[in-house]
Amino acid sequence: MKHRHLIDIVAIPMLLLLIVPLIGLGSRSSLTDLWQALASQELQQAVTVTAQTSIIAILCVIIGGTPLAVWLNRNPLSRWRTLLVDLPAVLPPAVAGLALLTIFGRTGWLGPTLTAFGWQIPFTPLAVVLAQTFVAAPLYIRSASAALQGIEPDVLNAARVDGASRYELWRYVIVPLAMPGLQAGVAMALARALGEFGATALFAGSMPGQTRTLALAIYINADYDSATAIAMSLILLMSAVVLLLIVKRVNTTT
Amino acid sequence: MHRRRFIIISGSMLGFTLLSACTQVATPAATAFNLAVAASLKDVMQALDASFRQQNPRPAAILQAAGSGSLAQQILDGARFDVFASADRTSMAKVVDAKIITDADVVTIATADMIVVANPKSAVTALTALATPGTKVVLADSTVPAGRYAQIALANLTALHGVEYANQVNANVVSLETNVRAVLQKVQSGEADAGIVYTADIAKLSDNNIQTIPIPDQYGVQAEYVAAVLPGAQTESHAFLAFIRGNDAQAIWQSFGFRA
Repeated sequence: MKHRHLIDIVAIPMLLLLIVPLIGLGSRSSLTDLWQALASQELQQAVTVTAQTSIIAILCVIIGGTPLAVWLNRNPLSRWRTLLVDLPAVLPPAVAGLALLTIFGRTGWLGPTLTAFGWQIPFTPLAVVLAQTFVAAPLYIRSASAALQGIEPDVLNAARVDGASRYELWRYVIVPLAMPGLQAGVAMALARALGEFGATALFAGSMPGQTRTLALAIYINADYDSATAIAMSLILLMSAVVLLLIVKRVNTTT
Repeated sequence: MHRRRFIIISGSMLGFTLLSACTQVATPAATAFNLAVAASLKDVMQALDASFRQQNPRPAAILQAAGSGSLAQQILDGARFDVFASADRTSMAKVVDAKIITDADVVTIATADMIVVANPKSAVTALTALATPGTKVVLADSTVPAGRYAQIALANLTALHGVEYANQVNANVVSLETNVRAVLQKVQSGEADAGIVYTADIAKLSDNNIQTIPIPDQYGVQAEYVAAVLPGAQTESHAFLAFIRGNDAQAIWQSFGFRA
């Protein structure tokens, strides 16, 4: 009981630090500000760009990340898995942007080839998708890999003994069992993609209606018109809350 | 074992903190200036402070270099600085409007011109090329001073290159950057062909990744840098402000691409 009280007290400072600034955001905004920001073309463009790019990015993450998670679990390289997969996630975003430029930029490794075909990736929505995929995929892969590894080999063996084909094994055993982890991974990755800023700014630029995502629009408005910036932040924050609630719901119902 | 290591690490961290606190106390009576300066003024302010300190010994100034708008916001939120140097009057006006200083406190310290920069590998060699379809142009966003000045310069240049000039250039814009340094970076790296920046941004560049195309004076636009001593500042701040506006500072300003 005594310990309980102590932990209540020492836990509070960090709790306040995490929560109070977010409440502060809400308190600085009024309903009229929020309404004005919602009605502005700038915000609508930013929301559209963000939604389109992050949905495509998350599809790339699922389609490309799931096989990689499976492969990493089977491969002897898996000792290095955490390093391989976590590195992009802990890189400062600006570094991620520079790294992408060295490959896909006009003067990057693939630049001359792409230019020969008349393509340029920087300054296009595709660059935003690439940046988001690069920073968000590790979160999904980590979660998916853990979920797949958590499945008891006995369960799989039992299914095989019962004559399940490889497809049936995946369709009726592995995917359903790993689903909570996969869903949590998708939600975390999507939240990360929605908030992507640094890599996008360097690699994709900031063109309204093309590459200016919500996070970039917030940054550019923060100095100039902080009411708009705060209203935009609230919108981003609310979408993150919705995503996190989905994760929580998925985790508690299973 | 872990516990002991933890104690050693935290103990030494505490030790360092105390040590650094002591060394700060031991500095001479004159304290360093605490300057809030527009990002583009960072290097020149450092040089000006170094020059000022030759006659007035004190530790090197602590510079808070950021966008003028966010510095103004910090001052409104209670941040304490000796001097605020802004890249435009708009940001300074925020501080005046908040009655922290008055209009009489605000003085012009320098001006800078806007200049077109182009990547040497691009086809851009003249101002007209900015309007050629297919040229990738990067400008600063109109929410920052460099972006507003760029638009004024483009509007002025329509007198020289035709009424459609500004529209054609704007149609070639592939990105509106959050700050002028990002404009320069994208042209240097070759992702963009050309952009518009301050002369001060390129004065100290030593690489040949950039070529410059000046805007003729009669069409150009001058960015005006203003400064003010803030309430509660050290008395010598006024001497410093007088120094950076004085004759001795001219050469320093010019070497950094400003007009004093």
